Amino acid sequence: MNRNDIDLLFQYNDWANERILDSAEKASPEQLSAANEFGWGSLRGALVHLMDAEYVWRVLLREGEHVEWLEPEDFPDIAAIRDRWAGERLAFRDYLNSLSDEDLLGTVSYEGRGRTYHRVLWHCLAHVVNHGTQHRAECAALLTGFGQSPGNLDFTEYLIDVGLA
Amino acid sequence: MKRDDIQLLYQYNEWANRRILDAAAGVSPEELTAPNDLGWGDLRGLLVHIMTAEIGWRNRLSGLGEVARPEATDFPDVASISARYKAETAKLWDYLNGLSDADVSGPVTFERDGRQRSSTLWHFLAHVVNHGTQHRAECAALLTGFGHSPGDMDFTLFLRQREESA
Repeated sequence: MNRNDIDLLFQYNDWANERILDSAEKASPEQLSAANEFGWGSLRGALVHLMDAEYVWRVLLREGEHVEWLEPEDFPDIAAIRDRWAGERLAFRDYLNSLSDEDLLGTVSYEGRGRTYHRVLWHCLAHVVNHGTQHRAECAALLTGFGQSPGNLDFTEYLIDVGLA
Repeated sequence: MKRDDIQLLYQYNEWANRRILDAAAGVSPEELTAPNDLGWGDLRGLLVHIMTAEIGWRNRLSGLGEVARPEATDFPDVASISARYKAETAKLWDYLNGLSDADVSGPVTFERDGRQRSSTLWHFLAHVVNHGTQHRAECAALLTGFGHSPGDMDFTLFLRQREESA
C-alpha cells in the first residue's frame, strides 16, 4: 500500500459521500430526522456519524488525541453538515498529503477501550473508508425509502466516472 | 498495493461474511425470504448476491470470462448458502495465492456487458471487498431487525481479533 493507493481510496470515499449528500439534500426536514433502527437515530445521525469518524480518526492518527464526538443536534440541516464536512475533507487531505509511503507502512500507537493499540497506519486509514461504505449503505437504504436513491456507489462506478476503468 | 495487503482485505472480507452467515443461520425461513426494498428481493437474495459477486469477479479477473452464476432460489436455506460459500472461498484463495505483487499492481482487461474494461487489478479486487461491505451493511440491518444482529463488523475489530489470536 502506498500513498497513491490510499489517495485513490479516499478520493472514492469523498465521491461517494458527495453522492449521499446530494441525495440527502432532497430529503425533507422530517425525513432527515425521522427515527430509525440503524443505530444512529436518524438519517442525520448516520450522516454526522460518517463525518465524525473521519474527524475523530484524523485527529487520533495525526495528533494522538481523542476528541469529543460531534452531536447531530448541532447540525440543523444538510447545508450545515456539508459545510462542516468540506472543512474536514480539506483537513483529511492535508493529513494524507503529509504522509510518505514509509509512514503508511509504519506503526501508530493510540489508546482506546482501556488498552494501547499498535497498528499499521494504512490499516487504520483503510478502516475509515470501509466504515464509510458500511454507513453509506445504511444512508442509501434510507434515502431510497424516501424516494431519493443516491444510485450505484460501487468503487467500479467511481473508477468509470473518473476514467480509471 | 501488495499481494499481502490485498490478502489482508480478503481475510477481513471472509471474516465479515462468516459473521453475517452465522447470524443469518438463526433467522426463520420466513424471515430469510421476507421481501424488502433493498434491491435483491430478500435477505437470501442479498446473501447470494454477495457470494455471486465474488464468483463473477474471480472468474472475470482470472480470464475465465462471464460464467453462469447461481440464483437465490437455488439455495433453500442458509446452510446451503454457507456450504457453497465455503467452496467458492477456497477457489478464491487459490486465485489470490497465485498472484504476485506485480500482478496486483499490473493491468487487467476484460469484457463485460459488451464493453471492454481495463484498470489496475487491485482496483477490481478492492471493489469486491467494498461491495461486500456495502451489502453486508444491508444484511446486518435486516438481521438486527430480526433480533439476530451480527454485531460490529469494523475492519478494526477484525484486526483486534487477529492480534489477540496471534
